This record gives sequence, C-alpha cells and structure tokens, in this order.
Amino acid sequence: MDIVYPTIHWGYLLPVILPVCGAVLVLMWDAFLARGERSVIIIISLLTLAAALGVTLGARALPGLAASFGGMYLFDGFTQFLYVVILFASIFAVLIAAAQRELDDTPAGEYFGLILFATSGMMLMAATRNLLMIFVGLEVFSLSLYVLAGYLRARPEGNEASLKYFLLGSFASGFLLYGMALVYGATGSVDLIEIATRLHENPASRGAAFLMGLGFMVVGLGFKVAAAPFYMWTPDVYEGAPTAVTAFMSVGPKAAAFAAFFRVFLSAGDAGGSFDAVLWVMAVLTMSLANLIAIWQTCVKRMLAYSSIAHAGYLMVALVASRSSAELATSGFLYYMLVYVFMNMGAFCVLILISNMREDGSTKLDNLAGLASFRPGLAAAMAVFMVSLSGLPPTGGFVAKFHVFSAALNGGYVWLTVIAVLNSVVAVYYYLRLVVVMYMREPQGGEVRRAPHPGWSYAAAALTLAVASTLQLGIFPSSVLDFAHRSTVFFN
Amino acid sequence: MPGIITSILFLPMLGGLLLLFAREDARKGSGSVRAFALAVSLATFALSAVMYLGFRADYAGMQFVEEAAWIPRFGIAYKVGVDGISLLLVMLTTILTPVAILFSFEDVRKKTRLYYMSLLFLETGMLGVFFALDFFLFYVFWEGMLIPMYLIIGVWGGSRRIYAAVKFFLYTMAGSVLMLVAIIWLYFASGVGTFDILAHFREPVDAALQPWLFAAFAISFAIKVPIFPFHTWLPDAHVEAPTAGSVILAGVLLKMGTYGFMRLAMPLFPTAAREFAFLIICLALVGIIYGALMAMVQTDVKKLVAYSSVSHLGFVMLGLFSFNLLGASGSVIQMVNHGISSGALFLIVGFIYSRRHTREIEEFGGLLRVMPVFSTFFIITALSSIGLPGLNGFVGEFTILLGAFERNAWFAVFAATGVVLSAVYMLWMLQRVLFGEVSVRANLGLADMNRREWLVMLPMVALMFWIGLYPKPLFERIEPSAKVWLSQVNRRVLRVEKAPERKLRKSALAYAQRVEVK
Repeated sequence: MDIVYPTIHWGYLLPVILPVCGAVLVLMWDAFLARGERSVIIIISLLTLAAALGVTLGARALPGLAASFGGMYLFDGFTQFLYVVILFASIFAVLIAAAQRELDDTPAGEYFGLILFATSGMMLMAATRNLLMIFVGLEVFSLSLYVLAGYLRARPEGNEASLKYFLLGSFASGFLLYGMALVYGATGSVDLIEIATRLHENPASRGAAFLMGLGFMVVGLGFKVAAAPFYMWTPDVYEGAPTAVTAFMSVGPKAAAFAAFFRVFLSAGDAGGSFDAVLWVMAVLTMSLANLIAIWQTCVKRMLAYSSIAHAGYLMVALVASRSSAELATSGFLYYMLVYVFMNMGAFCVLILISNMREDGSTKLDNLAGLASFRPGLAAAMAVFMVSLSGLPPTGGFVAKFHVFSAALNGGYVWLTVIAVLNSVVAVYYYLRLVVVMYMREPQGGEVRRAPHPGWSYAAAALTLAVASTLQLGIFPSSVLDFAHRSTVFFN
Repeated sequence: MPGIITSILFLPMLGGLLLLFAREDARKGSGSVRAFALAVSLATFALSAVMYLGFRADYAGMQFVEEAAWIPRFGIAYKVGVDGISLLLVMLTTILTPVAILFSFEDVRKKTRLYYMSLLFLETGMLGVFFALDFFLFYVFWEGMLIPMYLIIGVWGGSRRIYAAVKFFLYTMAGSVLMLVAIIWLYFASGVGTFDILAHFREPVDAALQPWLFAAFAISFAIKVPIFPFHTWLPDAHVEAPTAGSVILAGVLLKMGTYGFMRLAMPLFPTAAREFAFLIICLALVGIIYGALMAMVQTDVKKLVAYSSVSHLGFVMLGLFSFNLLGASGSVIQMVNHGISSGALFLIVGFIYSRRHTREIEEFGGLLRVMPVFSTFFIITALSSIGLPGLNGFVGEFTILLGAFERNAWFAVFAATGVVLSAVYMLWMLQRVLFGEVSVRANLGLADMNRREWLVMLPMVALMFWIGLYPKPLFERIEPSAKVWLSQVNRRVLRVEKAPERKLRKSALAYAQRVEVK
C-alpha cells in the first residue's frame, strides 16, 4: 500500500505556530523563571501575536499552494484576512487584560497562555476546508474560553458564567458534530470541496440526511456566533466573565464561527438553498430581539453583550446574501468583522478603565455620568466607538454597514435590508444613551481617584490604535476594502 | 480658483480640530477659544464670498467642480461643486455661523471648547451637504452633522434638552437610513456603476421603481423640512436648543430637507415626483395653515417662532412642487429668506431670554419704552417674516404664490391664507410684547442692545433690506440652474397607465422605458 505524504507549506503555518509556541513559552516562563512577573509575560504574548500578524500580512496567498495536510489546513485569501481579524482581537485582548485591575492578582501565565491557545484554535477553525478540523479548532478555543470565563474564581457570577458556557457549549458542539456526521453520511466526505462536488454530481446526496446535517450545523455554529434563538447564554456569560475575556469572546469566536458558516454554505451552494429562509429569519430575530432588549439594560457590560448579539445579526445578513451576491457579501463580512474588532474592543477597553476607577469595579451606566468633564479623552474615545457601533459616518461602522447592506440589496433582499437599517435606528438609541450620560449629565461622585493602574500604558496603546483604526476605516477605507475584496478567494 | 470649495468646506473642521489643543475659556468676558472660532468662521465666510464673486451667473451647470477618487471599488468619489441653487444656501451657512458664534460669546459659559468645536464641525457638515455631488459623500455629511447638532442641543440646551436631542436624532436618523437603502438600491438598479449624482441625472430610473425610491428619499427629507405630519420633533428641538443652535437649526438645517427634495428626490425620480405632487402640496398647505394656527396659540415666543417655521417651509415645498420656474426660483429665495428672518427672530428671542430668563409672552409688554433699539430690530424682523413688501420675505412668498397660481389657483388661495395668518400671529405677538404699558416691574430696568448684539443683528437686517429691495442679483444666479432643474423634473419616462397592462410592461416595454420623450 502506498502512503501519500501530504504537502505541507510550513511558511503558511507560521501564523498558527507562533501563538502556540508563545503560549507554551508563557506557561513555562511563569512556572519556572519568574513567578508573578506579569509584564514579561504580557510582552512575550504581544510579541508572538505581533510576529504572527506580521507574517500574515507579509504572506501572499498563492493559488495552488493554499492547502497543507490535504486540505486540513488552508491558507487562502479568506484565511489571511480572518487571521488579521483574529490576531488583532487577541492583541487587544492581551492589552486590555493587562490594564484590568481585577486580574492583577490572578496567575498571569495561565491567563495569557489560554488567550494564545484560544487564538490558535480560532485561527485553525478559520483556516480549513475539513469539517473535522473545523470541529477541532472550535473545541480548542472553546475549552480555553470555558476556563477564562470563570477565571475570577472567587466571584460566583464568574463560576455561573463558566459553567453555563461549558454546559451549553458542549451541547452545541454535540449538535455540530452530529450535523457533520450526517453530512458525511449523505455525501461520503468531510472535505468541503469533495462535498461540494458530490452534491453537484449526485442529486441523491442532497436528501433529508444532508439537510438535517446542515440544520444541526446551523444550530451548533449559531450557538457560537450567538445568533437567535441560540443566544440565551450570551448575556449571562458575557456579564459574568472578566471584562477583558468578554471583549475577546465577543469578537474572536464570532470571526472563527462565521468563517466556518461561510465556508460550509458557500460549498453547499444550491443544495443549501432551502436554508435561505431559515437564515433570513435567524438574522431578523437576532437583530431585532437583541436591539430591543439592549434598550432596557442599565449595566454597560450587559448592554454591550446584547449589542454584540445584534452585530451577529448584521453579519447574518451578509451570510444570507452570500449565495446570491457572494463577493460583496463575503468582503462585506470581512470588513465588518475587522471594524467590529476595533470598535468593540475599544469600547470594552474604556469600560475596563472606568471600572478600574471604582472600588467595586462595577460597570453600571450611571458610573459614566459626566465622564466628559473629568476624563474628556476617555469620553471622546467612547463616543467614537459608540458612533461607530451605531453605524454613523464618518466611522468604520458606517462603511461596514454600507458594505453589508449593499451586498444584501444586490442579492435582492430589500426587506431584510430595511429591517436591518431600522434596527440600526433602534440601536442608536442605546448607544447614544452612553453619550448622553457622559456628556449631558453631571458627575455623581463615587469614582475613586486611585493611582493609575500600572497597565495604563497598554490601555492607552489599545485605545489609540482602536480610535485611529475606527476613524481610518471610516474616512479612508479604500485600501482595506481592496484587501477584503482580494480575500474573497476560497479554497484556492 | 482650484480648491476653493475644499478650502471652504474643511476650514471650519480644521479650526475645530485645532481647538483640541486650546484651553477652555474659563472667565466671563474673555477667552481665546471663542475668538478663534469666530476668526475661523469669518475666514470661511471670506472664502465663500470670494467664491460668490467668482461665480458665473450666466452658466447653468456645476461650477468649481473638484473630483478625486475616494473608494474607487464602489465608484465613490470625493466630488463637490456649486450651482445657482446651492450657492445661496452655502452663503447663508457661512453668514449664519459667525453670527451664531458671536451670539454665543456671552450665552455659553460651560464647556466652551466642545461647544465651538461642535459648531465648527456642524458648519463643515452643512456645507458638505450643499456641495456634495456624490451620493455617498452627501450621505456622510447628511448623517455626520447630526452628531454635533445632537451635542449642541443635548449639552447646552434647556431643561428638557436630553429628550429633545434624542428625539431630534432618532427622527432624523429613521428617515435617513431609508434614504441609504434607496441610494444603494438606485446604485444597483441603474447600472451606472457610480455614486456620482450628475451621472445618475443622465440615466432615467425605471418608472416602476421610482415611487419606492422617491418615497424613501422623500420621507427622509420630509422629516428634515419638516412637512406635516413629520414635524413633531421640531418644536421640541427648537425650544430646547441654545439660541445659536436654534439659529442654525432653523436657518440652515431645515433647508437641507428642501434642498434634498430639489437636488435629489425630484430630478432623479421626476415621474414619481409628479405622482406624489398633489399629496405633497396638500401636506404643504396643511402645514402652512396648521403651523400658523399653532403659532397663534403659543404662549412661549420661541415656540411661536418654531411653529412659524413649519408654516414658512410649507411655502418652499409648494413652490418646488408647482413644477414651474417661478415656483422653483421663489423656493430658493424663500429658503434663504426664511434662514435670515427666522434666524434673526431666534436671536431676538435670545436677547430677551438672556435678560429675563423667560420667554413667556405674558411676562413682557411695553418693551418699546424700555428698549427702543431692540424693539426696532424686532419689528423689522417680524415684518420681514410676515412678508412686508420691501423686506426679503415678500420676494420669496410672492414669487411662490405666483408659481402656485400658475399651477392651480386654489393652491395659491389656501397658501395666501397662510400669509394672512402669519401677519396675525406675528403682529399680535409684537403687540403683546412691545406695545402698551410696561406691565411687569422686572422689565423696567432692562438694558437696551449692547455693541455685540448690534453686531449680531446688523448683517441680518442688512440682508433683509438688500434682498427685499434688490433681489435681482440673486434671481440672476438662481435662474439658469432652476431652468436646468425644471427640464430635469419635467422629463417624462414612457409608461403604461392602465392597471391590467402593468404586468406586461416589464417584458415588452423594458426597453421602451429607457427612452425619454418630452
């Protein structure tokens, strides 16, 4: 029997290898060299992530060279852009964790090690055409996040978050795996290109088993991106987890899971057509429910949790449009995701700095009252993020929404677009309420003017990067838009 | 003059950004922030005056056009230009902004840096709307200027300022997102492959699509104008905004709605515009009369002026949808006139409010004896708003009435009722505030206008007389562009009228629809 050795392009693997090595190094460093040296560990994590980002940006996804390990690992244009998204998300996750006071007394090695492991998992999930690899990637980052969600062990909310996320997450993983098994049963392959070919050639393979399989996969992935009706866990988990982890959870897993969503549905092609209506309804429900509930929140962290669900809804719009308007929808999704990293991470960063000012670290809306009069810079940054999250010009959020809505209209989904834009009006109400509270109310006192946290320079770096990128992506979007359009190359 | 529009457009924004490095004006009666803001806005006015002088009155198309690639992938460009329609509105903006800033010198004491930054950013936003020749650019300015206006109402406004600011924002936003959908839809449906507004004028839009797109644009603009019944945000926003905010809001922002109808909604979708014309004229007439009646029963001077705006802008809509030259050029003049006279009225309300901290009509009476100069200014402004011949208001309203009469005499009859009513509420208000005995003791010691207030009012009154007595240069600049506009809105796209045949139209007449007939 001949053994076929798979082709491996090590250069393309480097962006994943680096964070894994970084994670091991961080763990070892913490265990043997300098117990409690947070700054060294933070810097190692940042360096490995920055190196991975550099390699990703420097790489050129070449046709024909994309697949390694027989398609288990795939570095195509789509992967490249998502790597940028995920790595930026992780860099922010490290920066803002370094600035969060509540995390000061927790073991640093494990925390940042887990962040790096989660990063590698997300990257793997985005960079494959193999269903099993999608699952492996998903489990790698999910397990890291289960632990991170309960990282503040003394807090009951943290334990609740962790347990809830773990139980429901495993349940969803089960659905996903079952769905994959059914798809395998119907088509005889776990490779998406193979699946696409067989679906095309053999109409019998598009039967009930395949559709059921696809349906279960929608449930599993829908859980990870927090789409309605599978979003119930999100607010509690997001609120209970440490803020820095919440920020990471609201961005990274979304990018990875949506990547899988796009890959699966684009390869299913017409065979997945019967799911258009399902995804349509899910998109509408996700946006509308999340926005309506977000209005009533008085805790900023919980509000941002619902806002992240709503944004998953807008991304679902891109997914719905991806069959009829593939290029616009995919590039729209990529651009939206990148903008979302900057604006959402930035908002969470401000939130962390505000909760640092208080003894109890609370994130109530009232704590922001009059922020503009005693921390004008912080308030201005938050205002920029809120404007961008609302999708108003001249910020990246506007161009991203414009792009996704263009895709939907081009695909013929007029009513879906109308519902989406009306949703963004509802969203403006609660985003701007933060501006109201910061600029139009008087400070109510109670914030402890403590000495600045030693990690404030990390937060400052994160905020500068986030504000600059949010504005740049809104005012001069052209070069990144071109990058996103070049990145709509799949499997090749 | 290459680059003149870009300089006018971004000078205020640049000034606003420079204010980031300034220190707050702490004490009363001094301050570098406000002086700097005033200087920037005056420099903007000077530049725009240079543009006005260089404007060729005999040329109908866009002038001083500048174009640069922005997002080439979507066919989005930075393209700006000015014609006879937008020229006067640009001038109005650059005149009202320094006036508003000068008024705010004493009026605004807290967070001065943010305040003047907002005003300057707002100026760039408003100018951008009038200059933009690209849908995307237009929309960016259209939405972008909401944020500074929102801050101006919400931070420096009256007691119910937050409610008013949020209401203003949500109303406007709800309308404009529908316009965004329509813009993108138009982009894909027309197949022009660009967001260039002028390129879309050349390509007639499918008659079946026009009503939808027109409706989406029209709702957005109707909320801004505001046309009855979309006006409910206006009294709140005007009353709660600080005086300078009201001046800008009434003076310029409302014009963005009528300008939107004129620049985009009507010439892009002429067939639909004609179909909707009767409805919109009816709503405009209702607005004219309703606004006047509401103004009559107000006890608060500022609210009275706010409702008078609803009435006066009804005239503009009436003129536009008369589809004739008199109506169109009258509307442009009326937009400018309303900007001047209602801006001046809000300033006057601001003067008495800063003295007495109330705007209730009952609290005043006999001010003519105490403040003769102020009263003179007040009377001139009120008469200009009523439309007394010799002052600016008359020119616009009379031309519009002629245009409306040409279309349908009944329209003119109803609209003329509005003129009469406006005389009733204005003169009645003047009588109660200025004439008679001084009824409230607190009014006895009121100081008359000081030097700064003179400076604020003089340009306004000068403009009232200038436009009232010698409007010819303005009409000369408007008319060539208005004629082009008229030919755009009067073109017809062939369509089948009968209902049963509608289904066939798409296949059999798909080609024919593209053919223009006069």
